[in-house]
Amino acid sequence: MQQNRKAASRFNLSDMVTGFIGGVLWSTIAWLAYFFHFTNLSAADFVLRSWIWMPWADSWAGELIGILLVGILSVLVAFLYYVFLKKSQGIIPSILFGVALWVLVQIVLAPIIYGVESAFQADRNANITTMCLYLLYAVFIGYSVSYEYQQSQAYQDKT
Amino acid sequence: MAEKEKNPIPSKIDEVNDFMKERVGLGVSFDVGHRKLIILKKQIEIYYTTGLADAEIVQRVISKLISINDDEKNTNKIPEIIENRLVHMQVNRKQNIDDCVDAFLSGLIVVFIDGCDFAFVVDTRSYPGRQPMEPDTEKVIRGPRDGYTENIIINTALTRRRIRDERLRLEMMQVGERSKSDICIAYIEDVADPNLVKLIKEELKEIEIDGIPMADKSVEEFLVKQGNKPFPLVRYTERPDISAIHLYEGHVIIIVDTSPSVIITPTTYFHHLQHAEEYRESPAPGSFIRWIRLIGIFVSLYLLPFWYLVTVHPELLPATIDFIGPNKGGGHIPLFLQILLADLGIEFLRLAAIHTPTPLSTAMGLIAAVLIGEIAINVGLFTPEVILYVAISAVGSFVTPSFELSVSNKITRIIFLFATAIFGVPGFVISITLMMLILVGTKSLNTPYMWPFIPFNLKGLIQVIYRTPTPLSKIRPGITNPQDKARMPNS
Repeated sequence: MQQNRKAASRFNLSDMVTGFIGGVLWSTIAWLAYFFHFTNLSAADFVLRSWIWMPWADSWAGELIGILLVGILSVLVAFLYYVFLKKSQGIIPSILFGVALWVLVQIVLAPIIYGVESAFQADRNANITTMCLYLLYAVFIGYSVSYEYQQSQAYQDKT
Repeated sequence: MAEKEKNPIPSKIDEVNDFMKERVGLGVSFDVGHRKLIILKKQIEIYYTTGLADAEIVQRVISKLISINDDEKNTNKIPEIIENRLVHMQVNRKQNIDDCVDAFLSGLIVVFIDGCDFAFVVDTRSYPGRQPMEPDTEKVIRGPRDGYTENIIINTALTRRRIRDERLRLEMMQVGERSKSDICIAYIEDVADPNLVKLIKEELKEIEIDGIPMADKSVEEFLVKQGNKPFPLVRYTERPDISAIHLYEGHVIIIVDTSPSVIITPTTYFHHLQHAEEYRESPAPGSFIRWIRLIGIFVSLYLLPFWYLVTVHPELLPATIDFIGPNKGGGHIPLFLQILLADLGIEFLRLAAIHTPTPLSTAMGLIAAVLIGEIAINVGLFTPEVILYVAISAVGSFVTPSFELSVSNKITRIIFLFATAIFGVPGFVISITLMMLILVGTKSLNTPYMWPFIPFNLKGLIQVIYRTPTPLSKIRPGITNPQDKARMPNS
C-alpha cells in the first residue's frame, strides 16, 4: 500500500503528455502569431535556428521541428512545475510561473541565444503577445499538473 | 427551509371546517372544494382542488366510500374500514393539517374523519399538460421524438424508462415558501460522486424564496452563483436520452416541476458543444459533424475581431493573403461602426423572430434579407465584406448547440471587437488571453470549467474532438469523479 501511494504520486506519463501537448499547442499558436506578424520570432528561432544553420531550418520543416522541440522541452517545464509547485491551488501560481518563465527566456536567456532579440529590443506588440502566450502556456501546464496531482491525492485519500 | 410550527389535526370535524374557511379560503376561492359524507353515522369530509384532481377517480373513491354504509356494520373500526375502502394505490396518513392543506392544494384529496386526529391523503393528481413531444431546440434526424414536459412525474417516468437500475435515485424535495415547487434530484447511487450530491442538496435546501415560477432557471441561479460571467455554468436538456446518458456518466440531474428542461450538473464548457445528433450518427460522420460545429463556434468567436484587426492593420497580413480587406476604401462610415451596426441588425432579427408568429416571420425575413442587406450596400452604408464576415459569425453562433453559449459567445465577441478597435494588436491579444484565463479560473460546482482542455486530460479531450464509438468508450469521463469508473463491467 505504501509503495502504491509513492508510485501514484510521482511525475507520471500523463504529466509528460500534458507538457508535450502544451508545448506543441502553444508554440503552434506562437507560430500563427509569427505568421501574422504579431511577433518577429517563432519558436524555431529560439530552439533550432540559433544552433543549426542549414537551409532547411529556415523552411516550414524548421518550424515543424522547432514546435516538436518546444514540446520536448515542455516536458522539462512540466517536471519543474511538478517538483516545485504541484501543491499550489488554482491558476494564480501558474500565471506567476508564466511571468517568471517569460522573464527567464525573453530577458535573461534571449541575449545569450544567437540571433534572438531580447524583450528590450522587441516592439510593444511582440512583447505583449509573447507575454500572453507564456501565460496561457504556463497555465495550461501548471494548472493541469497541479490539478492532476490533487485529483490523485484525493483519490488515494478515499481508498 | 426553516421548520415551521405545524398544527395538529383537530379531532372535531367542525374545527377542520373552520380552519379551512379561515386559512385556505374555503367558500371564497372557487377552486377549493369539499364534500360532506355520512359513513356509519360518522361525519366525513373530503377536500379537493377543482382542476387538479382527476374527477373520475374522485367519484370512484366517493362511491366506494358510500357503499360502506351498505356493506359494513362495525362502527368501532371506522378509520380502518375507510382506509381499506379507499380504492387507490397511493394512500397516506397525515398527522398535521398543514401537510393536508399542501396535499390537497397540489391535487390530492384529503379525507377527514370526525373524531380522528389524522387524515387520509389519496393521490388523485391529474395536471393539465401536454404529451411528450420533440423539443424544438434539440431536434435529431433519427432518434426518439419524446421530450420532457412541464410535469415532473412524466419527466421522472421518462428518465426511469431509460434507467431501470435499482440504484437510480429520484429524490424529491420542495422549494419555495408559497409555491412549494417540487424539485427532483436524480442520480445513480453507486456512480455519482456523493460529495456532489450532498453539495447540491445543501444548496437547494438553502434556497429561501416565495416561489420559483421561472423554475429551473431560478434554481440554477441559486445553485451556481454565476455573478456577471456570461458563460452558461449548467447545461439544460429537454431530451430524456441525453439526461440518461449523463446519469450513466455520473452526473446529477435536477428536474424542476413546471419546466420541460432539466439541469445537468456538473457542466464544463465542452458539454455545451455536444449535440445528440452526433451520437445518432456513426462515429466518423458524428466526428465530422462535431468538427464542423467546433469550427463554426471558433469562427463565431474570433473571425470578426481578427478580420477587423488585419483590415485596420494591413501590415500584419502575410503577402500570400493580402487581398483580404475592403478594396474600395472601406465605405463612408468607420469599419468598426459598420460591424457593430450589422451585428446589431442581426440581433434585432433574432430577438424579433422569437416572438413573431410564423406567418409574419417569413415577411420579416424577406424585409431583413433583401431590403436591409441589399440596399444598405447600394446606399453605401456597408461594404459587402462587412456583411460577409458578420453573416459568417452569425451563422457560426447559430451552429452552437447550446443557446446559452451562443449568446454568451456573442457578448465575448463584442468585447474582443471593442478591445481590438481601441487598442489594436495588444487589445486583441490581451482580451483573448484574459477571457481564456477567466474561463479557466471559473468553477461550476467545484468542477473546472475548461476541463478537459485546461486542466488537460488527454482521454477527455479525445472524447471531445472525436466522437468515440460506444463499444470503445469503456470508462466514464473523470470529470464527475465517478465512484465506479468502468462503463463496461467485464472489459
